[in-house]
Amino acid sequence: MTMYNAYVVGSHVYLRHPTLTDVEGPWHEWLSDEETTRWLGLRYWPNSVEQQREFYDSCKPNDDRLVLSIVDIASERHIGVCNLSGINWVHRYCDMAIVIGDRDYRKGPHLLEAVSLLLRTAFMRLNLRVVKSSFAASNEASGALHSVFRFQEVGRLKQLFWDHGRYVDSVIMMLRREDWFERNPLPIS
Amino acid sequence: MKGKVFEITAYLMSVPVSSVDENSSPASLEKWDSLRHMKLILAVEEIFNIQFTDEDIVSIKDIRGLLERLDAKHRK
Repeated sequence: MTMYNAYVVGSHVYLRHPTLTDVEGPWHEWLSDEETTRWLGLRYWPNSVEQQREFYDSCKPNDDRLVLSIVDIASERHIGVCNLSGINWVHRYCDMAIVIGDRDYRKGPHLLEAVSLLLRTAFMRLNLRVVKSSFAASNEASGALHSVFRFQEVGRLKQLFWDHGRYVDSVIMMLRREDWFERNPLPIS
Repeated sequence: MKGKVFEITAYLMSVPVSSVDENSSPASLEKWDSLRHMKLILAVEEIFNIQFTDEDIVSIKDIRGLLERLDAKHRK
């Protein structure tokens, strides 16, 4: 089993820097797909491989955004993308986002493990203290995902998000490092 | 403990309790999707007043795995 340029490794998935092969694969199609983009705030227009390449180029020299491809270990298949963005190195917070683009991997443990690895990266490797996130209130799965990882709701932007014919709240969540450590204590050495 | 987990699972997956056992999994229960999976974890944490670690959460794939992690929490 070969893992190319692995940055953080789990049991089912590993995260690594995106590659040009990712760009030329199905990545750009995920961000055109109506179902996949339903809950993404800024994806209304069809995506293209050229736009994906521009995004890829913009990821390179960037200290305030960490973009990582999610790769299924068993098949070495690029199945999604996640990021920590808006990283503030003074106040030590960031925003988190994740997309499992490949429909074959949406029901298994891959999403949960990718979130877990991303949080571990934020708190343990980058020494950040707060991870923020948000989701449309009508997105029940995203609400459950944030609850599973103990994010706390800290506010709502009322009726901000247009979802299938109605406006719904944008729910603002945050996870503090101390809360994450309480649940994931360091092993005693 | 086991019976309560079976009850919660049956409720969330919309099946009779009699059709849930230690071997139940997303493969055997049609409605066990990612949302219900997360709801199951949250319900078990709340009812048994425990907190799974991220490692626990990722490792739970079926009822047997859930019971093992729950049992380990209770033995601590």
